[in-house]
Order: sequence, then structure tokens, then C-alpha cells
Amino acid sequence: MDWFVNYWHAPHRATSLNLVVARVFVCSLAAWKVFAYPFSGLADYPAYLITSGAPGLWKRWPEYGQWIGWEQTLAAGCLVACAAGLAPGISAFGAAALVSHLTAVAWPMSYEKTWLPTIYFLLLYGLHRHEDPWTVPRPRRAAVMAFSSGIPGAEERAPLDTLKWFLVTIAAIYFFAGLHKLGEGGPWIEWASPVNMARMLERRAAACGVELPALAAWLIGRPWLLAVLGCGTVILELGLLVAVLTNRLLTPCLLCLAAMHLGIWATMSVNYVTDFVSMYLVFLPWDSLVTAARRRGRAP
Amino acid sequence: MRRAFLAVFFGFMTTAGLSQEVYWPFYSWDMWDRLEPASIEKHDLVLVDAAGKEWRYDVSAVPPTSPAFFKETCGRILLEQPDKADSLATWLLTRARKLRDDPVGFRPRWWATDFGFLPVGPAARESCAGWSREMSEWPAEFVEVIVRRHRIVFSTRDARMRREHLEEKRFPWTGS
Repeated sequence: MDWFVNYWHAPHRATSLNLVVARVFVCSLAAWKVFAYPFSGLADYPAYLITSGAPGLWKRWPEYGQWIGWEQTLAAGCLVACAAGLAPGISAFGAAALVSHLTAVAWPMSYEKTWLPTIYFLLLYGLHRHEDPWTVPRPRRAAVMAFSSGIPGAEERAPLDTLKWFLVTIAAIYFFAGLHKLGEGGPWIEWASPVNMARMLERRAAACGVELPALAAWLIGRPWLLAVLGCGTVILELGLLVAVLTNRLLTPCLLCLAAMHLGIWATMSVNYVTDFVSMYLVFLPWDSLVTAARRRGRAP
Repeated sequence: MRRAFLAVFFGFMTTAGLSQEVYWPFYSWDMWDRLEPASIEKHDLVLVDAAGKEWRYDVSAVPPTSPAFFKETCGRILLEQPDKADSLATWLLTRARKLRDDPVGFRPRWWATDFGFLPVGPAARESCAGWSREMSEWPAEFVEVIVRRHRIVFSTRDARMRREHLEEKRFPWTGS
């Protein structure tokens, strides 16, 4: 079962169509989020409220708040340009820098980390923009031909690095998240203990000021299941990088991680689905899917 | 050049990931990795109208910040920084008035963003629906804001999660 492409082991599977789909998808999603995210609402806040415990910039320049809307507009413009393939050298690096800055100064929004995969993609894409022939201006040295047929051996393909390094980046993020649960959380079996899991669910509800979600309440009454989910979380987070490097079980791993994020959303109201699970779509074999759809369309 | 960029990129990523230092945008990814204590302290914000009736500080008035940040930071400043407390209380009351007059302008756009408190599940949805119902009945103005500090003791094998009241302070409207 290989729904997702392991670009680490098969970088030649990255046709330019897959790269273009990734570029358009990631940049469009990010542009939509930047437009919708109320960064500029921070301008109304008293400076001391924002600077209370804030890192760096707000403390030195609290008047920055009045400029945040302009930066938001510029960032969205760069993302739209990058999605359209316009001047990818400027638009990708410009968007990465602006979104990174916005999320750093908007730290009280607390979930600014969810933007980081987007920023990493923009950096890696900007670095390997010559691999994308569907841009304006066209790269002087395109690494591959345009759309491949998706049939193995039908066309010569050159390896593409954007998607390969992006897959490693996503896997590394999960790996570090799992590693800290082993290290900082005490013996990992303690982190995954039913007591700790139950407190985590209750603390989240208390922090949000809402009643405990029904699924969370149901789980708290089943300590053995909480322990299984806790252990499974650590194994999955550490396991994705292993799956990528050993070229085994990538698809089951990503599907289980998607289920994990859905479970976290349902029990803790923490949404990493929009920003992490959506990134898995980048690793689907879009060229093969398009080719299969074309064949089906031609079939009598 | 590209290899050097990649080396720096993954060097920072690995260093941040292993050291738990943040070199933005390279984050340490220490996500929910701590052992939870048996209890935590939280702050609540409450509005008071002219008739003395209490109203929860609505979650809709909180974005773009998260409710946890907003309530905790405001609560701490109100209780621990007397030089800023009055002006912050006035700002909170003014923000509540604006919210009442223009609720749409304060509505977070859930569909695109998440501040970590999407109401999931019937109980949580009911909590948020309660806020919205309350808000539609908000009075023309509030005269006071109250900050309350609680201890939340998590459930154990023998007892359910409970809330213990620790401290309360009132701040009347001082604006014009």
C-alpha cells in the first residue's frame, strides 16, 4: 500500500507536476491563512499586554503594531505570486521571511508554530526553484522536463530535491517532538501513563474554559486505552523518520499520524490537521493520479 | 551554495530540536512533552453590569490572541502590577463595549485559523454557545471587571476535577 511517495528513496518520482501541485497547494493555503489570520488585531492591544513576557521585537519597538497590517498584506501578496509561479526567487524567499516574522511577533496567538512547515517549504522551494519549469521567468536551467506521463521509464526524469528535503523536514519535526517526550517528560512510560494523559486532557479543557469534550471524558474512564494512545503517539512521532529513511511503512505511518491529529483535535481542541495533515497531500503521486484520470477519460 | 544552505538549514533545525532552544523559525518542537502537575492555577475575567449581574468575559473578545494567553496575562497584570491594573481594566471594559456594539468585527474566522479552542464535542460546543447566548443579552455597559484566581485540581482515581477559589480583585470603570 503506497499512497504516498517516499521522495527520500525515490527522488526521481518527483516530476515537475508534483512540484507544481505542491507549490500551488502550499502557497494557496498559506495565502488564505495569512488573509484570514487577524494579525492586525494586535495593533489595538496595549503595548504592555503584548510585551509582557514577549520575546525580542515587541519590547524594543511596540509601535510596530500599527504596521502589522501592511506586512500581512505584503506577505499574502508574495504567497499569491509564489503560487502563481511569478519570480519564485523573490516571492518564495520574501514570503518565507515575512511569514516567519509575522508568526514570531504574533507569538501570543500561541499556535504560530503551525506555520513553520509552510515556511520550511518556501525556503526549500526557493532554494530549488530551478527545478520548476512552470514559472515566470522560466528557469535558465530546468532540472526536468515539464509534465511527465507518469509511466515508469516512458520519459527520462531527473531527481528533484524540494520534495525530498521537505519530507525529511516533516519527519524531523515529528522526531524531535517524540524525542522530547522521552527526554523531558521523564521516563517515557511516565509521559504516556494514563494519569499524565488524563491530566493533559483536563488541563486543555480548563485552559480553554470549556467543558471536557465527550470523547476526552470517555477516554479518561479507560486508562488502558489512554496508555496505548500515549505509547502510540511516541512510537509514531519517532517512527516517521525511521519509515522515511528505511523506506518502509510510510503510508501507514502518515495515515496513523493523521488519525492521531484528528484524535487530538477531538479531545483537546488542538488543531494541527489544517497545517500538518494537509501537508501530507504534497506527497501523493499527483502525476500518476492525473495520468490515471486521463486514461480513464480516454477509455471507451 | 545550495549544499551550504541545506547544511545551515538542517544544522539549525537539528540544533533547535535537540537543545530546546528556539532560533526562529527553527523551533524546538517540545510539544506537550512535560509531565502534568496534579493541579494548576488559572485566572478568570468577569464583567459586572450596573445591576450587579456578572457576565463571563466573552471568548469572542479575545482574538487575535488565544484565550489562555489573554486571560492569564491580563489576570497576572491585574493582580500583580498595580501601576497598570486600572488602565488595563478600562481597556478590557472598553473592548467589551465594542464587542457588544460590533460583534461581527470581533468574530474569529474559525474556518481558516485555529486558536486552539475550537469547540469540539457537544459539551464544549454548548459552552461556546452559552457564551454567544450570553453575549446577545449583554447590557449597554459594564461598570466593573473582576479577576479571579483559581486552583484547578485534576481528577484522581477517587475524585473528579475540581476548582478551588484563591483570590479575587475588582476594578471599577475609570475611563471617560
